[in-house]
Amino acid sequence: MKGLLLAVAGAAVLTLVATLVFRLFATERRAALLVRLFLLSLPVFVLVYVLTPADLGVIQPWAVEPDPRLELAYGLVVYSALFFGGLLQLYNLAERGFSLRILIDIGEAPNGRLAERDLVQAYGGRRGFDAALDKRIDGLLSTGLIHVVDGRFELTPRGARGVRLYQPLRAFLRLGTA
Amino acid sequence: MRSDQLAVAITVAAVLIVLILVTHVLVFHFRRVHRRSRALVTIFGAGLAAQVVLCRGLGLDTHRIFCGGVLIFCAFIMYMPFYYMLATSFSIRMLLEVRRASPLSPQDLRALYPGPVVLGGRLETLAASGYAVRVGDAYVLTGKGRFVARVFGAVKALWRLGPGG
Repeated sequence: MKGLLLAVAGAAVLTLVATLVFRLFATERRAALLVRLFLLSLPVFVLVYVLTPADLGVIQPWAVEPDPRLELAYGLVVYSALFFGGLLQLYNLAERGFSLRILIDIGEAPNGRLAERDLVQAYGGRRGFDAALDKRIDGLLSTGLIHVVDGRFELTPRGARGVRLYQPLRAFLRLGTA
Repeated sequence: MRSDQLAVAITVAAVLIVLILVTHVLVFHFRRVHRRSRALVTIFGAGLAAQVVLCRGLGLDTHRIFCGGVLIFCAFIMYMPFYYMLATSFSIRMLLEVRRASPLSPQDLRALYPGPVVLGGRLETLAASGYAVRVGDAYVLTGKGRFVARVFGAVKALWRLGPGG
């Protein structure tokens, strides 16, 4: 119980810290910043676990774990999942979510109605669909997955490695190209 | 009462997570699955149910069974974003297109994703999922869609993220 409680509490505190950092500091690389905050928090998590009593003052005796090292490992796994599957995904969706942005654009349209033909220009708070494509292309360039050779895109070795991983997975899962 | 309950619950959960992933991969490979999200949730749900049944059969207490179930939930929230990234990420698709047609001019790459086609497809998906409904030539949000839009609009405002998308 202690590991689980600390994992949930830790995720809540990390979310508050991330919110404060986002509001106080302007940065483009927010995902990397979130991961750094998480990594910095890991030794804090371990320290809190080690320095606090096994029952945290509130846990019933039947829920106190006899193996504290196993419970610490369990707590770290849950904490990591709450970050990578929770907070980081929440950020990714809010920042890059394609369908989500469409929902927001429809909601912000006059009378809450948006014609399909108008969405191309209205997409992304009226930045337009092309801006979203450019954002993805810029991301591939800035992360070193593609580069420009004589005005054309080519895969970098890093990009080629990524393709060797993704393509067979997509093919095996029949995800297609749609 | 056995003293290794948490270890047993974790072991059962770990084995079931592997089985869940193997089942997902095999089902999606050998069967034509139309409602993939629902299939994935069902597979994970079955794994969670199996966790409860197995751990109860092994004599674990409710708390440790819950701990094992939390691990399966953790696997779910970590795997689903990975799956959706693999299935729908524009960046990954662009990468595959650059490999397929390399070298590829920026204009040719953008031409592979015409706005009306891409957005039209996404609108249909949103409508099929109950987030929006078509009224004449326009789309309006359903209650579910409005709720999601408001929640994430608030998150974007709180975190000062800008338009995004």
